[in-house]
Amino acid sequence: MYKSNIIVRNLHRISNNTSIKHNLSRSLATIPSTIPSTNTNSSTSSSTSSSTSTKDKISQKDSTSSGNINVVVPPSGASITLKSATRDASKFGTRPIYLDVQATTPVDPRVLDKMLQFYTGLYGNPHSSTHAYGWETDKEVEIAREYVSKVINADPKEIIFTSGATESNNMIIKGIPRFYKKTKKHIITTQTEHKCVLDSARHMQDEGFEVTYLPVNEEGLINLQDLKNSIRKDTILVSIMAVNNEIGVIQPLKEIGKICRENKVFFHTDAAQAYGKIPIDVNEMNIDALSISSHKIYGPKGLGACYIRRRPRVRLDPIITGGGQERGLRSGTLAAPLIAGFGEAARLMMLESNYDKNYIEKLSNKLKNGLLSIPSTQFNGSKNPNYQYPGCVNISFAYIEGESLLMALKDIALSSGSACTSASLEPSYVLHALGADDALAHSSIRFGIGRFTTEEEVDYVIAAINERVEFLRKMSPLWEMVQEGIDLNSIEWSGH
Amino acid sequence: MVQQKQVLKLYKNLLEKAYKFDNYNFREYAKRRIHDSFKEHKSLTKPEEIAQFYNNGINNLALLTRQSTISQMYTFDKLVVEPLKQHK
Amino acid sequence: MYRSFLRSAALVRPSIKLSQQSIRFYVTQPITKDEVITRAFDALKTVATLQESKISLESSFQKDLGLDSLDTVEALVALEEEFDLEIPDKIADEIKTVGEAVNYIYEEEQKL
Repeated sequence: MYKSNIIVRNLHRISNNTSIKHNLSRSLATIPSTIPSTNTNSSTSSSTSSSTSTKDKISQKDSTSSGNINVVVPPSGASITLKSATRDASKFGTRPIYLDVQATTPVDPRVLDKMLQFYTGLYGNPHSSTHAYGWETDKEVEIAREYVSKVINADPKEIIFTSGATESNNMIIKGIPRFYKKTKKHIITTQTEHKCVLDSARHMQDEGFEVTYLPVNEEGLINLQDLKNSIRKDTILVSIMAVNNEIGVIQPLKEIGKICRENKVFFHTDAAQAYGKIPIDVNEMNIDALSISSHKIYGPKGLGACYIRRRPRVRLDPIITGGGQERGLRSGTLAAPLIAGFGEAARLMMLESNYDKNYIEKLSNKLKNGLLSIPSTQFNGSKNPNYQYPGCVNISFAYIEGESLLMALKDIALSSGSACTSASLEPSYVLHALGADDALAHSSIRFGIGRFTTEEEVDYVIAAINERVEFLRKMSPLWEMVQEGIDLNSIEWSGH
Repeated sequence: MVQQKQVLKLYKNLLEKAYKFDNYNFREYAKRRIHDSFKEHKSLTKPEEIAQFYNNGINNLALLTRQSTISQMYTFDKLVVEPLKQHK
Repeated sequence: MYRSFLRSAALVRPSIKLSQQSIRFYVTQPITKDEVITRAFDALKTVATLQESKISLESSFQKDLGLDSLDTVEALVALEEEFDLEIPDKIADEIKTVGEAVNYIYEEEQKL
């Protein structure tokens, strides 16, 4: 199909140069979207060079267009399918298996069932205090607030609904230091935080705050002594995430909270990946502020919350002001349907907590064993189960590029890291912070297991990864060299 | 007093609804969850506990009926692990 | 059935496909006993308790395969779903072995 397009394109070029652009755009419309857009540039630029004779042009066109064919074909990895001897692909569906629950989770049907009531009958504004429509939704919102607070053993009054964990993080990391800016000038966080925390911190640097970015060890954990040493007289806030979104490592929250309380510093934790999945008790752990996301716990997208302690009181400058809803910390009409869904999702996280935990652990162990049995693979995260969330399995496959492996795994929805940064091909800064080199950081993939993942899917993934890692390594000159016993570090690469 | 026959009937009805999910992951989860929940509560003896479990199941049956119907209204391609049934 | 109708309609394509599917009962060959047996065994394998078991036509659900009352219900539902039919409670109570279930399904399929 590509070929015929190109021929048509060439004919046009020969007969009438001016029609090329129009024709190009038309023929491009038939080419799958996977083709890099640079194609159009190269072919149009070659067509505008008018110094060569027509005959030369034709041959030149042919060469560029055959070049085009090479470019037009998606990256070699993408054409690999699981044409394995073990099964006939035509007898199965085509939609990929979803293993990216750290990015987002499907909405639990029980949550949707709750939400639908609000999209059909219960449409009142929860802030309308003059009529029954307002009262009934307000009641439901408060029930939801209670469920959300119970998961972390907080008081419902300490829960503020926001648009998501990103807003919560912004609100806390910007709001708390701003409120105390007259006396306090220092914030502590870590190098492996989520982008929105790092970016908020950078923002505060612009406003004149100093920020300390704590390093992590090769397992991704911070050193408590480092934290103690970093706390100064003018430190206002320590922000350390509970569960890392890329490697699933759990920071020692209780110990951090203790240090913070002793030094009278506020402790904020980004619990987007942790809420409902690991036990969190804000009182026992001395957490002063905490960010939550609804869509990571099978709830609706577009909603989150933050916990802000009332005793001892944590004060902050609100980012969004207006009608004074949510204790004046976050104005705006509450999204009752989303909140009800979020509340139901939180209730289910509590109700199913043991069941989900055992199940996810079982699948996680199966997946880990199945993948780490491949030679030259490495698990990123903590080996200590107390510091590792099992639903996040990050593995490096040496001598393979993560992106090419992802291309070869069109039948599995995976990510090489955070969805927020995966638009760029930069290797993960989290893995860098762990001390991984570029190559290793590039070759890592995150597998996310959740409530709705099945054992059958895990079996499929293990088989598919085994098969395709082997395939890609066969093509890799590096792998060949390693097999021949050449130490890659001894090679002097010539630059171009 | 809830009879064994009623419980078995409820179990059957729940499973039948679970099968009706068009979404593979929800279908498998519902089947697994129902199975494990009934097995877990198999040894309940106190009539009030059984009644509570039974009533909870009845509510869930209504929910499953609604949600599996919705799942059939919005269908997507089958997953790569799902065999395409030729004879249906 | 209803679903596949919707989907092919959404494809805006072949009325041929549509008619093929909607009149399958008249076109397809009646199902053979062997087919019933293989499909029944496959369906039973999806029942958690039966995954490792050796199923034969003679095996009794409760005695040989060790199913409890819940598992038996599960096995029957699996069969019902596989063959898209409903086994009435009265008959379900009578069915004690895999062979009896297969016989019932085979007879029902012939009636179509």
